[in-house]
Amino acid sequence: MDTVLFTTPKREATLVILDQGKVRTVALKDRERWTLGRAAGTITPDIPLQSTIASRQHGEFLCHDGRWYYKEGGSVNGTFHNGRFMGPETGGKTRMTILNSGDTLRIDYKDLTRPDERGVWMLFTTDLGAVTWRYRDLKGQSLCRIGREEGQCELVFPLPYVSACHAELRKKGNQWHLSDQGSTAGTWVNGIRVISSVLLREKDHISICDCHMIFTGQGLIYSARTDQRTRQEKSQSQSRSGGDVVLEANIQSKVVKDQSGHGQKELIRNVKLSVGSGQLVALLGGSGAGKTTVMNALNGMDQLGVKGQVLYRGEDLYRNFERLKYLIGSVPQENVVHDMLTVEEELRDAALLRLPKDMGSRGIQRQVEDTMAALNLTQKRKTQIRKLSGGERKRVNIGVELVADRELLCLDEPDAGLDPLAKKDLFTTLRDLAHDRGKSILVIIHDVSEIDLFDQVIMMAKVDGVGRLAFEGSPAAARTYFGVEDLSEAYVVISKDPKRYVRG
Amino acid sequence: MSKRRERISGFREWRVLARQARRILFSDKKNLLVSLIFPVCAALITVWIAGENMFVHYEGTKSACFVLVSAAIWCGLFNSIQIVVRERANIKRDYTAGLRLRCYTASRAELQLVLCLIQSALLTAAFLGVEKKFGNTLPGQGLILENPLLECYVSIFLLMFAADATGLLVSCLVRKTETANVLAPYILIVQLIFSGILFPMKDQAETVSYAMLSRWGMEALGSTCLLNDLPLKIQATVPTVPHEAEDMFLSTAQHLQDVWVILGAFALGCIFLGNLALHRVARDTR
Repeated sequence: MDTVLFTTPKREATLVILDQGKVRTVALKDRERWTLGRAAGTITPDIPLQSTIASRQHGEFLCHDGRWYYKEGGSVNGTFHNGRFMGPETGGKTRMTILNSGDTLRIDYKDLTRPDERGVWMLFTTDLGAVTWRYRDLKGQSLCRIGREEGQCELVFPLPYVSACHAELRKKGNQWHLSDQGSTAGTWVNGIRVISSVLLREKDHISICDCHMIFTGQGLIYSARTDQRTRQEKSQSQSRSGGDVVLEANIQSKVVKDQSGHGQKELIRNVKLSVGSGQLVALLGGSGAGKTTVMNALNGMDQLGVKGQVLYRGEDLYRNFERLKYLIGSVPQENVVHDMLTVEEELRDAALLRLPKDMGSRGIQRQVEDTMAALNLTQKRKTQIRKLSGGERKRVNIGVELVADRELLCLDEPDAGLDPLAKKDLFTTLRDLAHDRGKSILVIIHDVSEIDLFDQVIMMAKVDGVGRLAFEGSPAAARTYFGVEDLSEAYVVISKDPKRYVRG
Repeated sequence: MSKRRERISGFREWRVLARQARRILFSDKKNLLVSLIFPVCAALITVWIAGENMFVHYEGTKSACFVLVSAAIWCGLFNSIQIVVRERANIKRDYTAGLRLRCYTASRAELQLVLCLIQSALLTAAFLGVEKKFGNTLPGQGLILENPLLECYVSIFLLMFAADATGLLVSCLVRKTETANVLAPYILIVQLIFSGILFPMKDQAETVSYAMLSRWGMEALGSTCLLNDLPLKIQATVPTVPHEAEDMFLSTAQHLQDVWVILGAFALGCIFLGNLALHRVARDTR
């Protein structure tokens, strides 16, 4: 196969550019300003384009305070950001937009439904997980299936949330049509879910969860996420070295209606934090400090009234929630399991309801076995859940989400009601899941006796009735920051003068 | 050419959930036993208390039918009134993960239907008990079906399943098991009061009674038992007292068929509304 390899450099924002039928990547590193434009004469922009419909000074990429922006440079034809026209510059006003990973920029004429062959397509990405950009040539073919199983598909993404045969590209005459093949996680084209079949136009952006493809008219450029094992190995090494960021939040506030129903009540303010890949993170704080509110905002379960942004691997979680929700598992505080079923029955039902249909009976059973092994529940597989100990029940509760192979797990006080030994067992299991299996795990806890099992601590404080971020860092750094030997004393320290510790 | 794969079917999801519901039911043997013993007890009580005068005179037969109707409503209501609400947290969790609520509701309704089929059979056995103990038998022929016992079974089943669906609706509407438990007796009391048997229904009360399962249950059983044709108790001593036929117990195939359709529609309507109400689960907070 004619496959051309493009490798995304790590730890930097990257542009994948499709220009005049050629694909290249540009690493936006070491500088905070990059000019974009058509190479002509003596003018050589930092990112030169060949397209004749691009202006000489078409735009700029700017980095400020860790965020990337695209600024229109007064071009003739303007730029489309995620399909929305944002230029050319008019009335002296600068048109600038924030860039999130997965955003697309296009230079074309005003009607994107009839793209010009000279048009330029660019993908902005900060996803450094395990991305390699590849090209799949479709010349001489009439069918290209996309899915998880190598034997069934021409384009393979070996990831559990991708169905065995997830989507299909079929050539009808000179046109290519994309149809979803009854997948669980769905297929998106330019941010819109494919219900039946859609006609593909050049530079259309196809997404499956966190896998991206760009249709070039002659082929597909796609982000090849590496297989599960490689990701786990990567996460293991990254979890020790800080890892790549899975979740990044900058929540300015979250408001709800007050008790009267007429006014508003602010629950949290200025919460800026990040969760790394393969890390076990503790979310701490006194009662009413907004721990659950923060967690529900972070996992996208409660987006109402949230002002700010939550990024999942650089992509706006709320905007792409329907696509990304299959990567996030939320484990409630109470044991939401069927007490009358056995451990195996409960996990098998959860797997059947959550995993793709075509995973097959063996695949499902393998996943169930794997989950039971990871949670040390194999010996209890035939035991009714109601007959399990408190700690074991908690594990089954976690297993319901783990069996679906979620990448990010959010747990609300999983240690509630457990004795110290069961607590330690549970947190050790969670740490192993994070370090050995590459899961990112965010846990609300009260008891900090096992805090050293965690990689990171996020401490919330209640100031004037509003939850604020007091600390984010390692357990050791937290002790230093609060000037305590035992982190449980930090609660007392914060309660005496909460304003002193809040950030932002 | 690849064979086109269907979208993940609701049928498969329903099968998984139906199997789950069956396992939950069978693993809770104590509750299952209570569910099966109740109609047996109700049937025995009917035979014992009201069996002697059943099919002998109008009042005796009407009372016996009323006991059976009450038992069927009670049985159906209590089968299902907790079934959804106690799983609400599970439903929310699975719904967030993409569960089709209609598959969930259908899986629970299907199991309830099977349970009602069995319980109705046990309750209908009261007619056999009356025949065995007192020699009082049903009319020789049914209005729609050849076998009047089978006709009574269908009526009791439809009534019980409609009551079960009402319980399912309540279970979908409320958020706490305690609320469902508190509501159940009130629903039953209202059903009995507006059945038209204990008190005569006039004007607005009569309009309300049309929404009561108890009324339709009585109409169905009263029609098959030919209540209008049975003598009044007083006619044993004063034969000249006239027995005025009641529209409620019109013994025609058309009337019975209409009642069956109403009970069936009531059941389906409650399941549909319950499914709609269940969508509010997404707004549940801790």
